[in-house]
Amino acid sequence: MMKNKFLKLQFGNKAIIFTIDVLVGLIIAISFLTVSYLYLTKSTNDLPNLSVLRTGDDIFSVMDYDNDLQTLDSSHIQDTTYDLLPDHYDIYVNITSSDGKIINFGGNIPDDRFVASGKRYSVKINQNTTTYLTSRYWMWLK
Amino acid sequence: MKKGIFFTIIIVMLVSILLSLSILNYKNYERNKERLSEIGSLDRLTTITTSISNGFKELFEAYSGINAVSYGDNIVFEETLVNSQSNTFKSKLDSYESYLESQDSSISIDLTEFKSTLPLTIMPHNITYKHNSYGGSQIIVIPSQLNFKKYHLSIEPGFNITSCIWNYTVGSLSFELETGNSGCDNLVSLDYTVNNIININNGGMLINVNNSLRITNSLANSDIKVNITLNKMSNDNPIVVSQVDVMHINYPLLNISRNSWFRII
Repeated sequence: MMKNKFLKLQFGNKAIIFTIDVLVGLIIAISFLTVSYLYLTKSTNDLPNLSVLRTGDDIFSVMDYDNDLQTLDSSHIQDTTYDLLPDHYDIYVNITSSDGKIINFGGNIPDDRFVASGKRYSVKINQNTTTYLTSRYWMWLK
Repeated sequence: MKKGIFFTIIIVMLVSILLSLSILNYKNYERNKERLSEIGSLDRLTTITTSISNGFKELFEAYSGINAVSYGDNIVFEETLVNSQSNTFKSKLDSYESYLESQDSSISIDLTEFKSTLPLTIMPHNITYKHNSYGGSQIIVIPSQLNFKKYHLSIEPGFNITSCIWNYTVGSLSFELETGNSGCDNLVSLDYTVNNIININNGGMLINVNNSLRITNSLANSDIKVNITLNKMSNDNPIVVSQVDVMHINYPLLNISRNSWFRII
């Protein structure tokens, strides 16, 4: 007795079922690979971000301990900052003092990448006069 | 037919392994990201507390009227008794406190106890140097235990020494007094479990040595140098810090907070 054919094709139903099987297999495999790819590409390394933050802290610690910040001399602080700043970083600096001085310099803060920010407080003692400073910075990879 | 099934199973397994590894990698990345965020937050907090602490140290060195130095196993505190700079230092501390708190609402400074007796602690020995009242007539040194070798007290009296009576019991604690007056200077070993008294000018200046050292001056201002020779407790040099926590910093968004003293030496 002959089997009934699903479609009356020359080679019977085997070919179309095989094709559907291959297509379903491919769809599943491609889905798995896509999901895997997405997970892998999301897993970027954030360690350089910490390095940006620490570099900024280091620069301002050095300038504080060397009393560069306490000069409140904009051009001196700017020169020292860029001397200490590694080539592949950029920075924006804002320094305010209790006697009303404000120092700002640096590049435009980007919004398309990680920007590390930090702050430190310093004291400037000149004879019997005391001035308090707040130094803020924003740093990013160029 | 069997080959096809076998092939399919192999492919499914390989792709599943790849997917599992990707998910594991992603989870690991998420955990690392959290840790890095925590480390970054702690770094930021440490930078802020260190810079504030450094400011307190600079104010202390400039205005407290106390010179604290460390050399070898010795810690030396030097000041004039009565310390006439206490009011200036207290006012500088107040202005620094106001400035910091105005800059960041997360920072809270509490100097009440510190300004009251100016307690400084030698760590890790836990020996406290303070005053009955900062700007008052008495210096007090309180060790938590006998983990030091010697007190060496140098006094430049602002008055003439007319009498000096030593009333002490011999023991194991080395004590040396230098006043520039040969009738008063001595190097002895005291029993610190009983009260030993050196009475200068009929109670004008009293030095009590027992489980603490107390120097009381009701005569003219005199320079007092207290040198404490410590037992070696670790390879690190001893440090001197404010005894009480003066800084309270709380960043609720970063979910971190810290109470901290500040370091003098």
